[in-house]
Amino acid sequence: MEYEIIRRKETGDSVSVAASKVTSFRKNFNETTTVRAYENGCIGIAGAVGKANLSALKKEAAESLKKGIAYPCNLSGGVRHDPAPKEILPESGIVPAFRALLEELSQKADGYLFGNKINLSYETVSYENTAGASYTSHDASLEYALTIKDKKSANIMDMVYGKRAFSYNKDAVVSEVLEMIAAYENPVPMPAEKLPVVTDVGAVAPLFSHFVAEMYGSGASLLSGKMGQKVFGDRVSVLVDRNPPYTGRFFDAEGVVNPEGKFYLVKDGVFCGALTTKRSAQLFSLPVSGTAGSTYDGVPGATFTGLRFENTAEGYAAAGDAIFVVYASGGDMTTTGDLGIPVQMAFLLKDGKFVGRLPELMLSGNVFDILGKDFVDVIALADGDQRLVANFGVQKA
Amino acid sequence: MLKFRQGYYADVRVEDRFDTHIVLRDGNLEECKASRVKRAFLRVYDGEMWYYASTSDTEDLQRELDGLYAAAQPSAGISDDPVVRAFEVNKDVCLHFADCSVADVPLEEKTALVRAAAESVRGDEVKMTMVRYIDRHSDYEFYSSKGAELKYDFQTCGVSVAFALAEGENNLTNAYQRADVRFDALRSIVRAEEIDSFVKENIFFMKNAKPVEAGEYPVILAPMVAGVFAHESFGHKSEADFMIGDETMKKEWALGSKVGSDILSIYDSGLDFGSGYVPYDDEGTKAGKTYLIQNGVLAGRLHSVETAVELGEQPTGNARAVSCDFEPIVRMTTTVIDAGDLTKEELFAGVKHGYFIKDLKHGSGMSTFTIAPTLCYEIVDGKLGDPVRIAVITGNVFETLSLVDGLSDEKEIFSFVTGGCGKMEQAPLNVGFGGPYVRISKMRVQ
Repeated sequence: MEYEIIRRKETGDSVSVAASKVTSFRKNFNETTTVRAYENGCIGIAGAVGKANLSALKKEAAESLKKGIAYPCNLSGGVRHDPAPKEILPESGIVPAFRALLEELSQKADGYLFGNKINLSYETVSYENTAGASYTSHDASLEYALTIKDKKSANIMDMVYGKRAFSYNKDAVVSEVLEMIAAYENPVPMPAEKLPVVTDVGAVAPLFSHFVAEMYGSGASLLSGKMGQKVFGDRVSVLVDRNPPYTGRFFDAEGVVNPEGKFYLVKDGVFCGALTTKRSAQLFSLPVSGTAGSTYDGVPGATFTGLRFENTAEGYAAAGDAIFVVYASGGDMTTTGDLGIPVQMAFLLKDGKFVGRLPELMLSGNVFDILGKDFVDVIALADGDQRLVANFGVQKA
Repeated sequence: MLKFRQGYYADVRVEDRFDTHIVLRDGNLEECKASRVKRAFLRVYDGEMWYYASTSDTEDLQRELDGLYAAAQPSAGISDDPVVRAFEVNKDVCLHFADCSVADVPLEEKTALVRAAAESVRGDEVKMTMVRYIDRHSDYEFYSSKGAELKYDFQTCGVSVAFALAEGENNLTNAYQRADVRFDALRSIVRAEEIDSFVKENIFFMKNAKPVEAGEYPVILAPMVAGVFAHESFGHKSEADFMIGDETMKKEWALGSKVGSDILSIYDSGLDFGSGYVPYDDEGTKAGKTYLIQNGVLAGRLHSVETAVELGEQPTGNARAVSCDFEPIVRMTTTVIDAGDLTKEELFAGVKHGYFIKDLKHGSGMSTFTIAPTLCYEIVDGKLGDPVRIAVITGNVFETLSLVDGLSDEKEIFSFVTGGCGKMEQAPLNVGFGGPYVRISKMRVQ
């Protein structure tokens, strides 16, 4: 019998913000252990939350093989233990640091209310198996999800400052928030000329599920039958990247480590890979993509962790004059790839700077055009963030 | 027995949760697990700030509680704090599912239900089926330093039959779903003929749906879509936490303001069995039924204790957390549009040219709300016409609420085991929603 053992420890520190004040501090600690047993082409899984008895879990996983869930084993070895990253903020310094941030924001933008959350999280995951693999990875990040509300506005919120960072830089946050507010306070009409749109790559996220092997193999994916074919523009590449800063975990939930931590789904416009687990790879005769994830007690499934576009430009200045999407919620795609994206807040961008607030918009376009003839760039930003630039159809809402 | 200290308010919520998840893809068993996890969430309030901890070490809650006390500052006047004074002190045992727990149903019976449902999905166009059985039984305990002592339970179970269809360049994915609070009841409502009919309708839709010309049209929302509309368009705006410290919002959202057409009433209730059943919320407040809009007028809003005190209103039993990993925040339970007085036929007869939105993938709401439909049909001269492909329907919330011009005379309320409501970092939360067929004279269709 072969075994895999995965141990995960996660600590989270979270502050709630209401009416520009820190109102609570939350401490989370989660520890899980997963044991997978393989025998005769089947998988058996046992998981524990909190302190785990490994021998009991092994016995339970072996017992679970009787359920008859078919799954290939295909274990491989390898050793790598990444060092733990530096602490972003000491626990005792979290509340004072964010109080100071909010006080400064309140002073410099007293017409606005800030709310929601700032979260710090640390994760350590280890993986070992009976083929000799032994891996340890760490992730540490600081996530801002601050709502910004004009005190004169009747909206629940007017903007969101969302950012994932790896160090605390109060001055940078204040500067970026104030730049957003300055643009918000300057309403401008829709530009007469057609401008490219700078948006989160999530604008084309409805496409991502079409890369999943089960969807691809079923024939119901927009990409079904197109493996090896040119589907997007020459400058468009889509990959899973398990290197920092995209994700701190260099191995997936099945212990797969890709060469250079990368696996391409689209390379220079050519569709070349699907998101697989070992099971779906075997089922559809596809390469293992190293993109499996799993709950502590569940069978692995394909995930989008580390999915990104290859960058083609750097910084907002590369977009020149453009429409910048600040907040868009509720968009989707038809079965033929037609996107409809309501944009609740957009700015006019000139030479990489926000210059004014545009009216509410609707974006449209077919996903193959957006990543084909209408594609302009994918812009690299700090901390692994990126933005898609494309010639969407733009209509005032 | 927990020892609460003087000078603070504190409460402890413990959830002992059983879950089952079975997945059958194309006839092959992909997942089959049953798990039980016990976690606790602890809160301490010192009059200035809240301190929270989440733990799976439920054997030593005192240590966690003492850790929170150490971080907070004692306050001699804490019992006079208006928030502390407003906490209800309920003592109750409210166990409805102890004698029919899904934890006691053998895994084989659940797997058999999944296999039976999977066999109902047929057709050359069916390229993939994924049938899931999901259940949950939670036993909650809640204790507070004011003396609250509660034991209550929650249960849900359901089957989702997802399928992918393809023929040539055409493709479509959709899912049939049924949920109930008892396994025997679920078994009786997952019907083979209903699944078969739903799959056939989707195949017809995939082959025949035409694109629409973007524009503004009258639309009729089916009860399920109407429920999502109520949840997204107005429910989230009724969550009072967004009004904290915001004088503009307090004026804009004064009770008694006209916010919708005269025929429109929307309520939220945690009382009814289903996915939004919440007998007590996560800070021990007893559930109630709260009208948000009554005859077009703003009638109420959803509260935690803290937001109720801030706005000088009463707690409504809507402080909820998705799990013991998170603190309770203001959330909906089951949100419903009240029925009107038209028959379904009369409602459709009032549309010369528009669209019927039969079901949906998802919805979201801000100042503008959005629904991404799946099955949609043209309405011509009051009759259902051809299937059409629509990416999204959108509208400004207040404009759209005032454009509701017809409601059918029967409402349906839905429960779910997949998906749920997302707010900030907490998703998915089990909620229910429903309503009648709802006619809106103008919405943007794209």
